[in-house]
Amino acid sequence: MSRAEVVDESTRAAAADWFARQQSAAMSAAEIEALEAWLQQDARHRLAFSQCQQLSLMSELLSGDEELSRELPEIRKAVRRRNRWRWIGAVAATVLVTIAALMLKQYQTIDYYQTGIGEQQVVHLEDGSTLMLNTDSRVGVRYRGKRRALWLERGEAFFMVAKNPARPFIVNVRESEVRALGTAFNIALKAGDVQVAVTQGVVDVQADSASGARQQLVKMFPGEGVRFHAANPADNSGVVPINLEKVTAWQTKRIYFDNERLEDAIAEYNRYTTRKMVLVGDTLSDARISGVFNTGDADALAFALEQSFGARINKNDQRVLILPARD
Amino acid sequence: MARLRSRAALRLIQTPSKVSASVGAADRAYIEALFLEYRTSIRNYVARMLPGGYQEADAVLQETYVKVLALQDLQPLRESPRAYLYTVATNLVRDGLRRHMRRKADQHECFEESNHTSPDPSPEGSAEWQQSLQQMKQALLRLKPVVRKVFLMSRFEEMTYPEIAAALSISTRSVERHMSAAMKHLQAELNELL
Repeated sequence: MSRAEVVDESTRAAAADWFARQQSAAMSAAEIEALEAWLQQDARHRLAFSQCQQLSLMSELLSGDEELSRELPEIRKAVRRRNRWRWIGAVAATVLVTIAALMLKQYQTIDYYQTGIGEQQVVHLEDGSTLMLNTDSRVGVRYRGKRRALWLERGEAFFMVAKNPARPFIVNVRESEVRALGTAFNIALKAGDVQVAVTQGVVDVQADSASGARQQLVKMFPGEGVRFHAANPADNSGVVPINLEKVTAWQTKRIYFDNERLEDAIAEYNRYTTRKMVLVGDTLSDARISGVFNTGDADALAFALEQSFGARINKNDQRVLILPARD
Repeated sequence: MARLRSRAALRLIQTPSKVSASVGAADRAYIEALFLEYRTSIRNYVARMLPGGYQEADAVLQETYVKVLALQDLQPLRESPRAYLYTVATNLVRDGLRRHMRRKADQHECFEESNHTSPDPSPEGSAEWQQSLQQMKQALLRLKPVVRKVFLMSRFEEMTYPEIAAALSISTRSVERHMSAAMKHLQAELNELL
């Protein structure tokens, strides 16, 4: 580490002065500008100032300490007495706000976004977050107070969360919830299984345990994911590495098969279309398939099956039948 | 297993641009080298500043890394890498402390809310954190009484400077001076943590 980069005492002293000045909440516009300029001048200025904020916050976590607060109660009483009338005003205002909030709550509804089979939709939410719905999916959104609550009721969605530590972003999936700060992640609900994959930031999955208490199931970093049973989250994969390209392929209208069982691959393909592909007999169900296909492009997939497995294709407007090779 | 060759399979898949990091390979190598160099020191630094200890420090470290990777312009980072990395980490620590404080407040008023908070290792926090807090407490106890009162009234009671000035019969200018003195004292006493 280069010594020149360590914050020296005079920078620290200047940061302390600025911090004390800022806490006065009485800075003039010119002073605010000067502080801004000082911070922009040098990375060490910014570090020293951040550390003041940090020390100050740390000290607040000592507020329960008896030894430290011993000399404060009398002061507190004196101040309260002086401020009594202001307090009553504040209480009255709070009551009004509470009543207004309760009235609002009655009318607060959940906004739903949904897609049909083969459709996708991008939704820009009011806080700057974006959500992208995959085929046949439904997501509810309710932003209220310090909570951003969403519900993935069906299908799959990708969430890009605008960072706001004061308003946790929580996606509820059946009985579990996925919490994020500034993050991007994908959740899919398929046949009773929930799959979460993280592309950015840190994501926390919590679920109700058998005893009914909410517990952290896993905490994940980019490139990690988890799969669990929606009805019984205890039955889960633990944190596993995820192929992000595979998980996010749908956002560019592609399906990514990586040594998939043909039966599973066709089920995946069928999510995106009403013209279902049907595997006839079980000769081919355990065959393995790898490749990238466009969603809804039955011809390309059928062609590939014909070429690789000698499968026979019988298609009409309603469905595509895949028959095993005649031998 | 039959490796399929379909027409569609010939297309190269690309990670959608919004998910991919904005940096090139050379920049990424530079950032990775930086992290290799500072990883341990930042991790120790953060662990002493947050109740969650090394577990929480790892999350901060990870987030710092992601933030730096997402930088559009690496120039400020190249100019003073250590200060830059520590600032990003410090700001994340600050956010983390605010979260802990809110959680503490929520636990008093709203049981339901506390169900949603990630579990801390223990309400007291890690050993490193306890040690830092004790160090801070001792530092505060060593302050001149009037300086300590000003600082604690501002921090614990959320009193404004004019309120503190009135309660102690001093000027608001003195309140500010005492605040600054308290901060300098903490910086010096907790020097090894910073």
